Amino acid sequence: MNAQEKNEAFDAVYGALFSDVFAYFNVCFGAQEAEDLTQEIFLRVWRAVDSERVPDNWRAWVFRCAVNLKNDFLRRAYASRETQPLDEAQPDPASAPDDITRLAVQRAFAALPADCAELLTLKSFGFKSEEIGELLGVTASAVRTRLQKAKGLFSENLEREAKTNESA
Amino acid sequence: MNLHDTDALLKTAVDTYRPSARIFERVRARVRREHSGVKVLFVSADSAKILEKVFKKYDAWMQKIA
Repeated sequence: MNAQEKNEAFDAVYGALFSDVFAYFNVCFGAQEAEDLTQEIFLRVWRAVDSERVPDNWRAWVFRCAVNLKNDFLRRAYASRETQPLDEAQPDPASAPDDITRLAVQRAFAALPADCAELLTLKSFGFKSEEIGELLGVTASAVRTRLQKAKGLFSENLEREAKTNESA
Repeated sequence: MNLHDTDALLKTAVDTYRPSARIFERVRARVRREHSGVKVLFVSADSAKILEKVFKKYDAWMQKIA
């Protein structure tokens, strides 16, 4: 590949996956960390493009890197005990919802335990249970069980938010 | 918005965590800069003159070696 082709290959991967990778880290750690971690992922993409060891499936490769980087970050944060807990990560204020239902949906999601939010985020990106299982190192059936539980919790949170809005 | 369509609601929730166009461009610029290995230095006018002399000397050595 010449330099032009490498640039195009990088841009194609960046354009296709940046938003998902950023959203994944934003759900896990908040916007500030998401920028740095997403940058690290796409530096790895550049190195892969440069070395011409291009993976067959960029999406799976990038998210494997992302999950590993998240785990490394959590280990480092646990060691230094200075991180923002996962369940306090917040969406970008610029994308704050403009109606009460959206606000309820956002709050219901933000109130989920960290592992449930991560699982549902990966599911909403279109990953199948088998693929999520490979990423997280668990079986597909375990993913399906956890997804069911996570969706149930989300629905409960949403119902609670709706009731709060009704009584307000 | 249908409150019983959990998949659609989850997509709505996750979409609020997506980056703006500004973040998209900013991170791309940072990745390109990091990847290029180019470091940008800010120096005062005096330091710039000193650095220029050093580079000229270095350049002269290199030319001699060549």
